[in-house]
Amino acid sequence: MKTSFLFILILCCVACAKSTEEEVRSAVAEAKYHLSGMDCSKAEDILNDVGFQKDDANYISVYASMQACKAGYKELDILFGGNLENINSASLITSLASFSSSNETAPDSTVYLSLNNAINTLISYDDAASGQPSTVARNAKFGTKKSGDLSLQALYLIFVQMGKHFALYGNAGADGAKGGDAQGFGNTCIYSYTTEDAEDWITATSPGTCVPPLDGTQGSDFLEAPVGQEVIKRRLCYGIIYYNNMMDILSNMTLPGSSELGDVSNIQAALALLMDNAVLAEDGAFNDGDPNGQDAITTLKDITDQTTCEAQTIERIEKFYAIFFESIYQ
Amino acid sequence: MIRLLLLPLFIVSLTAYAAQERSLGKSPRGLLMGDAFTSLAEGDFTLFYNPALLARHKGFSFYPLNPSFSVTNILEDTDRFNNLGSDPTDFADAAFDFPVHIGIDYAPGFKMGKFGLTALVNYNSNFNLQNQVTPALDVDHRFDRGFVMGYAQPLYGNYKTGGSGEHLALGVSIKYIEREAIFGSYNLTGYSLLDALSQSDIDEILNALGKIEGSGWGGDIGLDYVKSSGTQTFSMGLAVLDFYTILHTKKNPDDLEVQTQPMQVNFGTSWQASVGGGFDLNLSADIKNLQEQMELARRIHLGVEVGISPALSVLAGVNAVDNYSYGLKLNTGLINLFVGFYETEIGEKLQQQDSNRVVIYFSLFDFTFDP
Repeated sequence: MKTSFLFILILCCVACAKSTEEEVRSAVAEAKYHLSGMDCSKAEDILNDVGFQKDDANYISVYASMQACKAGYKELDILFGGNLENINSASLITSLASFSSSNETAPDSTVYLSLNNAINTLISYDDAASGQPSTVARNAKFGTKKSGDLSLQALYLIFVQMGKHFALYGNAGADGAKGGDAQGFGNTCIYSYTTEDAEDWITATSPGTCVPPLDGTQGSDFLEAPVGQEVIKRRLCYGIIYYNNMMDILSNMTLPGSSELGDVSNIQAALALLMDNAVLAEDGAFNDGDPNGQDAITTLKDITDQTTCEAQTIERIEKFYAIFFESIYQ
Repeated sequence: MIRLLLLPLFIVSLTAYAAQERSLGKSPRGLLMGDAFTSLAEGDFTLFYNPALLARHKGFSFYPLNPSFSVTNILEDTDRFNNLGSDPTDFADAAFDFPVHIGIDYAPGFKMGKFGLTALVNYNSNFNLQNQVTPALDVDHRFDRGFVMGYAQPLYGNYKTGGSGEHLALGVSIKYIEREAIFGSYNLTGYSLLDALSQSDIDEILNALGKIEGSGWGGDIGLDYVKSSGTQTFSMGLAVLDFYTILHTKKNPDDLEVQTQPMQVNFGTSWQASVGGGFDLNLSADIKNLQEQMELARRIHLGVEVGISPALSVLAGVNAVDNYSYGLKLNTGLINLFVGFYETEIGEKLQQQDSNRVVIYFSLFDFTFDP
């Protein structure tokens, strides 16, 4: 009898180990359990234990959740607790900057960077040959449903992050309007424009609070010296990458017909038109200045990868902000 | 003899890991005894625990109507749903980490001597909302239909239920299963779920969620050792359930695979004492899932049944350290009724998450004829 119990005890200890696939499934399930209690570090440890699974959409989704957890992000509270229904496709960025979560007081906060990491995780593992994150490539790799889940999860994060980005650098008011100075940053433009075409555009159109004469002080202090050029580029490119990926998602997926999504389904059409107008505008008098800044809109409007954006000249990036973002965000 | 009992332990192979046990049928009596039932399953649920126990049967037994219902025990956590706001997010907050279960089992069947046949109709739906960051609804829905039939043969000795003696018996069973299943994790605000919910009828919603069908054959094998003096009975059994159960998935647009029926190796032992007048005592212990790597404490199931009279028994049990069960059995002759509460472990790790449930079972018109 003793022998039999010994056998069983030994078996309990040496029974079959889980397969790799099962280990990953188990890790994802356990991470979700910890994320129910917002225990980000335990979820991170468990997900890291099995190694990053770049071909597993469930793993990628939960990994991004873990990263967003570090920002205290709760999708239901932040988006479905009222903010999402306030999205207005006619003044998208203003409505995003009015989100209760658009409350950054300094650049590159842990919250901001954690959300940035989560967005990158969701859009980056699509095996796109171009190296540019793409909804079409995600669809091809993961199938429409799984890819749709990743894209929509990324889209919600992008809404929140764009709200933070433009409220911070655009010095939004409580209503989200540019230059409203709710935090007392003082700037009236997003950036202090010095490139000729960018200055010409602002002078010609006076978008919102960003009005001439431009003396190099109207922009955000977070985007000018003593902040280094590389950091400025990185910060400016965040905004471009969020915007371009948002448009890529909205252009390449059919949003489910849910009333919860409010005006989201109208965003793509409204903003695509504005982008077309910006391309046309740049085609004439606003494309004859510094050669380093020429063709900014056409070059940058399809870039969805941060590194590629940062490889562009600061003049182009500056001009993209002047002609496009200053115009659609007022 | 003991070595023979343990032999199948050495021929087990890899099986899929499941945090929640995926069984084809559960005896309510077993559930209320901590699911320590491998060596006690003599009634209508024998073929779901250990086919070798058929060797204890004599005569003809018929179980025509024996449904059981199990649902989440919301009485365990009523505060959670008090003062719910009108906002859907308030409801979601309350639903986090609160697994919901709905189960219906129906297992009519008969035993004739050492042969038994049981139909299986098993509906199980489990929902679990997790992850506050990106809320995800885990769905595990199964609707199984089919049958199990088995035969047991004593290898030596002779023992029949209610008598005295000793035997070691070997039992085998084969089964046919048709399974309809949805298994997945759906982001609550994600494309898959919102797209499914935008469909017009329930069938389209289920199909969009990935409802798939499969069917196949499988088998169980078991050993049963009993030694009884008539008033005291010691037994132990080893069951290798679904040692070869393969379900083939019907073609579906998303190329999903129907949930497998994983192998399970369970060892159980029990001691029963009867002092007459309907007063008896059953103690049982199971060590389950020997084929898997998991915490030892999670494998251990303990149960007790105290028969107070021929009509009334009290049952209790514990499994995975702190999952308790308790309930009553009422036998009026025509109706056999079990009511009680039980907890089952559903987390990936021990004591991480459990599901509290209520089970109600009644059996009508069952009888045993022993000429």
